[in-house]
Amino acid sequence: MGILDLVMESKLFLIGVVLLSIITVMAVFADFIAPYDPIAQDFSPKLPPSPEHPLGTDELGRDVFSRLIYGSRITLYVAFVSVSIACLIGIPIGLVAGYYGGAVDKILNFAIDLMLSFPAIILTILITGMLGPSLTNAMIAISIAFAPRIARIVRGQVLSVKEEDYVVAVKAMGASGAYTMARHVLPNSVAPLLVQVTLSLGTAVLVESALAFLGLSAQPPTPSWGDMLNRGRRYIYTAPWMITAPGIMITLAVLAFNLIGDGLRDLLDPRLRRL
Amino acid sequence: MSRLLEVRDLKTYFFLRKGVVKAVDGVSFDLDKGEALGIVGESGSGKTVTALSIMRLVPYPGRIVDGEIKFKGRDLLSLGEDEMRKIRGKEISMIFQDPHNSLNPVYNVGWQVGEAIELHTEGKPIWSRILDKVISILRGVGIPKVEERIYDYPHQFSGGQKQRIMIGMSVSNNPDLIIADEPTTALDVTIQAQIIDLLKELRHRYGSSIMLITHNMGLVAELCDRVAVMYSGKVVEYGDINRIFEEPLHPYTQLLLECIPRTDRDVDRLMSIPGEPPDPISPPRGCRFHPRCPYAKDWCRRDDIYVYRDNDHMVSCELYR
Repeated sequence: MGILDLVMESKLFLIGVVLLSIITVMAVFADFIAPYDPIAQDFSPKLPPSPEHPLGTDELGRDVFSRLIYGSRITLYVAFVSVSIACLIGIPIGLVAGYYGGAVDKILNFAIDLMLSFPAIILTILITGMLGPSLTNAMIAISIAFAPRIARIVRGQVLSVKEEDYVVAVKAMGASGAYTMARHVLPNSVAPLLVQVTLSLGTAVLVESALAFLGLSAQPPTPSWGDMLNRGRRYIYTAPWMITAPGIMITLAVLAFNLIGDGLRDLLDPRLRRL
Repeated sequence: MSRLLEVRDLKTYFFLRKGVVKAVDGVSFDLDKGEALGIVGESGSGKTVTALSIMRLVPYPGRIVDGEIKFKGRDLLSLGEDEMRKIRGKEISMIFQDPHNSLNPVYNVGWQVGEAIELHTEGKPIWSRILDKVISILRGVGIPKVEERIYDYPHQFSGGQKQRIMIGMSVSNNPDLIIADEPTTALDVTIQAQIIDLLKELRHRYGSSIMLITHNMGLVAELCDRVAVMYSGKVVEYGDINRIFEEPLHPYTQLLLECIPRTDRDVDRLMSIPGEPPDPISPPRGCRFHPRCPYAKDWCRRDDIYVYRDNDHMVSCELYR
């Protein structure tokens, strides 16, 4: 059975891919899809959903649908950039800790444990609190919070891969440590890493939204789902569409990444690959 | 014949929380140019650790604590890691036990053989030249339709073919010494014979010395000139292959040879040596074989076990005092 058949068979994975594709299309083609300027105000605040404003307007008369579409940009941007940076920091740390072992591993692992003892959300609030609220600082905070998670996965994988005969064989052929790590250990460690990265993207969306909700991420008037949620909270009885729409979008985005992550975990499991 | 490898009183210990495992505890042997040495012993006797010590690839928490390994007159234990790397794969290469796991599953076979050559190519590698060499090496070890198959991945080869590829990689830089660590254990018997024939042929073609690590006395008889019998981290008997097979002196060697199944004798059960290998953390005092030895006496517990020497033959046993 080919890999494509397996993909077609896992319905949940496909749902995740479709959801993520929709959000990506929204982000990329926001300028064409959004009917209004997301920051343009007019004098029709808190209009309920209608043909002109499919999801109504917010307290400043801005079109919720348009803001939602532009908000996907921030969400995806923060998620991908911060998780990429987390990988750039976490992968080398995990590789070095797992590969060299001994005292190096003990020190790095202690640092990882220390970082992981804080919940991601608390750590990011702490960091943005220190650096000051802004989109860049939110991304830095998320990167720092996620790097140890990535490092731990890589380390665990490296610990098992480095015992494989082919790694010893490559060293017996005269390869250096750095070469062996990059060329032989890392490529055989990507499967669980890929799953972790995808799941991290979902968590990053959630954390970014939480930061925005607290006003620690992108600053107004930038449209962001978390910020919309925060604004809507005050009008939850008078204008429920303001909070419902971004809430659903955040849920769907996190769900998309988690479905893809779970799907990848199954697809990459060699026990399920019926060749 | 000139001396290629001299191992003197090698001690490689593993420092575990439970205690110190003396995996290799005072091993000495020599290997001449073009010669084949067999290292025989049961699992856990320190054969593989001896090989990894020569390669200086003893895994953590193991460490070479004492001894001397002289290769072509150079002391390997005093070399820097960079110099050692130039020796690995180029002057000493190693073949591993399990061919199914010795090739990296994510790269095709041609690339991996090419890598073995490229790692020891000075300056910028010329890939077309390396490709030619890869093809000739793999043809030399008997892989059919090489030009197509170099683009195949390890899982598309049989175990025997994978071991042929590994052997091809090990000879790709014309090494002086090939260490084969149980190269046939993971293969079935018909393939075993082919692999040993291939090793024999390559030995004559390239003039490399071979260090064959095995627990199979039959393979040693096929390929080797000399043999070192290891038990619990020590060499108990060492000498010329014919002499050891005709007149084994150490009780362990005698029992080991008894254990080879024979067709000329009618037996119902296969022979085995009674008892179990000693606990590696606290081995028995004196001769480590004495708890299982049929000739054991009280004085076998003494610390200085008698070493009997006759020219190149060495036995460490109280029977010959």
